[in-house]
Amino acid sequence: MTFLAPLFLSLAVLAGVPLLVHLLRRRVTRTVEFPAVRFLQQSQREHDRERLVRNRLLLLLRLLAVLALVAAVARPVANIGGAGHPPVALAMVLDASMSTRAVVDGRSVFARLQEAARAVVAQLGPEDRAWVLTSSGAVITGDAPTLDAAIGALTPSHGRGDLDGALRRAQRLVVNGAPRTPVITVLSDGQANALPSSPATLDLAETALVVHIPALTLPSNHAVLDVTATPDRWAPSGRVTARLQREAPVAWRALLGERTLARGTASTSGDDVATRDVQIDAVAADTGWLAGRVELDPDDFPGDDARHFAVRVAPATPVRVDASAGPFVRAALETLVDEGRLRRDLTGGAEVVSVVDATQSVTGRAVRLAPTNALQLVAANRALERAGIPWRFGAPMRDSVTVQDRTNEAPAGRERIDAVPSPGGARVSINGATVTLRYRLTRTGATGDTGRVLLEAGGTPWVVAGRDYVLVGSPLVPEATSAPLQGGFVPWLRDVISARLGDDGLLLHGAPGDTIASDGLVDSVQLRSGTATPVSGVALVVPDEPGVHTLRRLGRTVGVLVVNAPASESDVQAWGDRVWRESWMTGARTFEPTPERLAATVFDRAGGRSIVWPLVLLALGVLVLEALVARGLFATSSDAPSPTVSRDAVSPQR
Amino acid sequence: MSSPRADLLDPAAVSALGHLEMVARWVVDGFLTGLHRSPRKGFSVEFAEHRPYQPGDDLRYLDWRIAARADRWVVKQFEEETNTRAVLVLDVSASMLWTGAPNRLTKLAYAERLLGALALLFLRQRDAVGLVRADTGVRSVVPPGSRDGHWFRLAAALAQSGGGPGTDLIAALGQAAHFTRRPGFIVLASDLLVEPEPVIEQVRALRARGHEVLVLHVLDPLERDFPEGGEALFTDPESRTAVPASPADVRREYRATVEHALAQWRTELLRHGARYTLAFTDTPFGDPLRAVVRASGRGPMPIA
Repeated sequence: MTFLAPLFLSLAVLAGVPLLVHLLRRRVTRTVEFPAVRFLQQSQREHDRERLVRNRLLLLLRLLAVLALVAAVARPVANIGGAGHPPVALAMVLDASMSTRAVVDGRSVFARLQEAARAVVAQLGPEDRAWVLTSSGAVITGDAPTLDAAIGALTPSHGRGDLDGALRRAQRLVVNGAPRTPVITVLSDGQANALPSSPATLDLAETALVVHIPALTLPSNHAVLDVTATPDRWAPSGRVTARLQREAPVAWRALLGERTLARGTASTSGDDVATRDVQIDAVAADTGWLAGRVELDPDDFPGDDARHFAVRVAPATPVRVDASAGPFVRAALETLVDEGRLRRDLTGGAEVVSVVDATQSVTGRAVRLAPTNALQLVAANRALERAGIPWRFGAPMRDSVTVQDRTNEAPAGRERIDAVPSPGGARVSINGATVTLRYRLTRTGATGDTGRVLLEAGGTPWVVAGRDYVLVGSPLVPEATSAPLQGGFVPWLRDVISARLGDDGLLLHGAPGDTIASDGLVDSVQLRSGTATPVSGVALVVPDEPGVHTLRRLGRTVGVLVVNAPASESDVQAWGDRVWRESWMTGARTFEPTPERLAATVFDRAGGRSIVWPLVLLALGVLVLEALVARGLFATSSDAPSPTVSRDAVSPQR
Repeated sequence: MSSPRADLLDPAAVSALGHLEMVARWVVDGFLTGLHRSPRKGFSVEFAEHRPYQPGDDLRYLDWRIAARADRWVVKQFEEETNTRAVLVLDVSASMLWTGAPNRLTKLAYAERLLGALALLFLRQRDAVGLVRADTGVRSVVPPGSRDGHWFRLAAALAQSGGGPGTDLIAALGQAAHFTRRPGFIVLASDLLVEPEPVIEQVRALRARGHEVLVLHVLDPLERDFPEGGEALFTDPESRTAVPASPADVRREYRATVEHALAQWRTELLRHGARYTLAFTDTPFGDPLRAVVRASGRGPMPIA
C-alpha cells in the first residue's frame, strides 16, 4: 500500500486522543451528591468485567476509526479493490508542430489529437495528477475541467517545436507525481521531424509510455521550401530565388512589399523532380527594409503555402581603411569594396566605419586592432580611454591557442542560441583560428555599455564588441594569428563592419520557437500585427507568427526578423511510430492508434487503486459499531434491563 | 366548573400552594371525591347514627323511610366495624432530603405530605394514628390518637426537620409495634437505601404479631434513571462514600441494578405478607393513595 499524501499520516497522533480521554477520565474533579450510591457501587461490582471488556472494545473501535480516517486522508492506493481507475501521474505530450495543421478528411490532424487528449482528460479522477505539454513549450496543469478547456484553446504552432524536449520534461513531471503510476502519453502526427534525427538516450525507467499516432493518409502537399534574396543589400536591384515543392501544377506569386514581382505556374511535366527553383530578378521601388513573400495556391497543408523574405535597399556601408590595420585587412576590405559590399569613404562622416590600429585616435565607429609592437600598449590604452571604451590591453601572451566563438553559447538557464547569421543567411566565423600573439583584454570598472565577448582565445576575451567599437586582441597579421588566412575571414570582417557597426542592421532568420542571438542590439521585436515583444539579454525567442518583423532598439529600427516554418515541416510523409520503437528510448512503450481506446490504454498502465472510500466506509462502520456497543446493544441477555417495576402497590400474598 | 383535584396534580405544584396541613387536606378531599365516583365501594362498614340533613350532603345517605314517615330529613352515618390503630413511620435521614431537580419535592417532603394525607384519611374514619420519625434512631414520636386536634399534632410533627446521617428503620418499626399492642396498621415511608435483610426480618416479625404493614418506597426519578452529565464523583450524603462514574457508561447497568433491587424489595415484602407501594416524587399524591386503597381491600373510607 502506498499513500498519495503521506504527510497526512502524521495525523495518526490523533489516535492518542481516545487514549488521552481515557486517562483524563481517571481524574474526576466534579462531585455530585447522590443518595443511591449503593446501587451504583453494586452495579459496578456486578458489571465490572463486562464494563472492562466493553471499554476496551470501545477504545479499540475508536482507535480503529481514527486510524482508518487518517489513512483515508493520506489517500492510500493498494491492490485490494477500490473504485475508479488507478491513480496516475499523467503527462500528455501534444504535438503542436506546423505539420499537425494538415487537413485530412475535412478535419485537421491537430483537432483529432485534441479530441483524443480531451477523451483521456475526461477519464481523470480526483486522485490523478495531470499535465499537458505541447511541443511549442506550453505546460498546463490543473484538474480535468481546467485541462479540457486549456486543450480546447490550444492552436498548432507554425514551427517544428520541440517534442523531444517536451517528452523529457514530461518524464521529470510524472516522476514527481509519485507514488502515482507515472504515465506519459504522446499524441503526434508521426511527422518525419517530430523528433531529432539522433535523439539523446532516454531511459523511461518505471514510466509507461503510450504513443498515439492516428492512422491517417496524409494529403499531398505543395510548398515553398526556401526563398533567398541576393545580394543582402539591394541597390536597388536583386534576385529572389524560391524553391517550390509540388506534386501537381501549382500557381505561384512573388511579392515585394505589396507589389507583385512575378507570377507563374510550376508544372510537373517533363521531369519527375518534386522540387523546382524559380528565380525572379527585380528592382525595388522603395528604400529601407522591404518585406516580401513567395506564395502558392492554398492546399490541405496550409502552413507552408507562403514563405517570407526581406531585403535591405540602401547604398553599401562606407568604410575608411587605415594603413595601420595591416596588409591582410586592407586586402580583404579592398575586395569587399570591389564587390560593392562596402563603399570606400574618405570624408570621415559619422556613418563611416574605420578600421585602425588601436593606437590611432579616431572618432565614431571603428574596428580597433591590437598594436603589433608591445611598446605601443600604453598609447593604445590611452586611445581606448579617450574613446570611452571600457576595455584595456593587458600583457602580451605568446602561446598557441584556438579561437572560440562565444556568440552561440547560451547564458545560464537558456537554451542554445544560434549565432548571428550573415544577411545572406550563412553563418560566418573565424572559429578555430590559431592565435600566437595576443593581448589579454580586460574590462575596466566603467559602467554603462560594457560590450560583450564575441570570440575567445585561450579562454580569455579576444574580440569584444560594443555599440560603436569592435576591439581585437591581436593584430590581424599571420605572425599573430591564422585568422586572416581563413576562408571565413573576409565575410566575417564584412559582417563586423556592415552588420555590427554599419547601418546594414540585423537580418535575422528563424523558425517559430527558436532562440537566436541578438547580441544585445535589440530591445524589442515589433510583430507585423503591431504587437511589440520586449527582448532581454543577448538572445530572443522567435515568435510563432510567420512573416517579417521589425527589430528595434531605443525606438529605432535596427533590423528585421524573418520568420518561416522550417522546410522540413513541409515533408508530410508520415514516419509512423517507427522512431518511437527505436532503441534510443528504453522502457515500456505501448502504441494505441485508435483514439477511442486511448483512455483505457492509458489508465491500464497503472497498478493499484484508491482505497479512500473503502477506508471511509470502514471508519463509518466502525463508528456505527462503536455507537451500538456504547448503547449496550450487544450486551448479553443476563445484562439486559429487567422489566420496569410497576409503580402500583401490590398486595401481600395471602 | 369544578376545581382541579389536588390528588391528581403535580406534587410540587400542590405543595407550593400551602403548608403540609393544607396540602394534606386538599389531597384527601380530592382523593375522596374521586373515590365517591368510583364504582368500587367495597368497604366493610356499619350504621352508626342519624344526624340532620345539611345542604351539600350526599342524597344517597338520606334516610328516606324517616323522611316519609316523620317528614324529617336525616342522613345516615356509618362506622367501621373496628377502630384501627395506625402508626406512620417516616424515614427522615439525610438521603430523604435529596431531590434530583429543583422543581421537584425532596423525598422527605413528598413522604411527609403523603403520610399527612394518609393520616387524615385514617382520622376521618376515626382510626387512631400515631407517628414515628427516625433517622439514625427514633427522632420523635406521636402516640396514636383519634381525638380532635390529634391531626394538628401529627401535622406539626411531620413538619419537623430531619437529616440525620444514617437510617435505623429497625428501631423505628420496633417503636411503631410498641404503640400498637393489638394488631394494627404500620405504614413505613422510606427510600429504603438500607440493607434489606434486617428490615424485611423486622417486617416479618411485625406480620407475625398480626400487624398490617404497608411500605411506601419513595424514590426520586433520577435515582431510577441516574443523573445526566459527564464524568463525576457520586457521593452518598449519609455515608459520604464516593464513587467515580460516567453516567453515559454506567446508566444501563445502574438501571438494571435498581430494577433488580426494587424487585427484590417487592418480592421479599410480599413474601412476608406486607404491602408495597413504589412512589416517585413526581407522581401525584393520589396515585400511591389509590394504590394503597385498591390493594388493601380495606382501609380508609369516606365519611360523609
